[in-house]
Amino acid sequence: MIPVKSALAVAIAAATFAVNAQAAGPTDPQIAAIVVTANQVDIDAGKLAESRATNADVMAFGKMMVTDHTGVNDAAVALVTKLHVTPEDNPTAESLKKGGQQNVAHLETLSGAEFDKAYIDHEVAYHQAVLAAVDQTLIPNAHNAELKALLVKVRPAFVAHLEHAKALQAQLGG
Amino acid sequence: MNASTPTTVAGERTPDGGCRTIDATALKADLVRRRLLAAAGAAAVVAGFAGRRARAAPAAATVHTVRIDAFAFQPPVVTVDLGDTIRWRNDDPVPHTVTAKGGFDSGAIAAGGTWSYTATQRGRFAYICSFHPTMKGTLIVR
Repeated sequence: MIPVKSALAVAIAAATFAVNAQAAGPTDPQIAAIVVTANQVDIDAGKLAESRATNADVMAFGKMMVTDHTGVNDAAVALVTKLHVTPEDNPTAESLKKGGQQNVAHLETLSGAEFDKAYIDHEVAYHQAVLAAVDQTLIPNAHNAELKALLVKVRPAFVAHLEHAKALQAQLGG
Repeated sequence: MNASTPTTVAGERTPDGGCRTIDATALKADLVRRRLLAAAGAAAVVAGFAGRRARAAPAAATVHTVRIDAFAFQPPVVTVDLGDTIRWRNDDPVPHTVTAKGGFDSGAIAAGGTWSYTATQRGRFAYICSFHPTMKGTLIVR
């Protein structure tokens, strides 16, 4: 069985590549959908960790994912509402959503230390992939200056999350 | 004026319940003197307060602002005088804290929120965001 961690990373990479292969890259409405979906995927996984994690640090990390990604989504939704931009579904957003659902389904079959490790492993791979998409696809293709500025502003959140997840991964013996 | 003719009269009760007039010139003078002394005393107290206030605060205590932006404290090191206030302003879309172990702790500062702290102790205080511990800052109180 392919580990979920690398399956998701491959899915994100493939979707991102598909988007890059388009002549023009994602439009602002498509970028908005990708951002909102990316945040929601991590909120859902974080909620699961809040209820299912055994390690206190992993549970706290899950709680922080819910808080931070909700905050980023609130800022994103407020901006696109103000700009009258309606998020437009697209292959990348769909791929993220599907990968997120697969991850949650897999995590729900695990418990104890196995759950903690699988959750954190996924968080590392996920934040790495999202950061790469932000840098290589979303920021370069954002047309609206405020949308681009928001992406630049929230990027450090993903960096901080990735650092934190990596530290937890090492702590759990990953 | 003729000292034998009183210009000021007052009434005084007699032991038998009656009333007689007395020369109140001296009494009035004494009353005036007492009022003058009281006024002078009050003025001295007020002047003393004003002087004390001026001496205690030669310059008003300063408010320093530290922005929390892009998951960092800006500026990362802030130096203040004892009695100054530091105001952290969270310009990020997520909540942060300002936490110095064994020192001050803001608790969660919401996105767009602020937290103020008045420096009551001299020293060098390292602080972090307890939610995102890679965020580090230093407060120096002279």
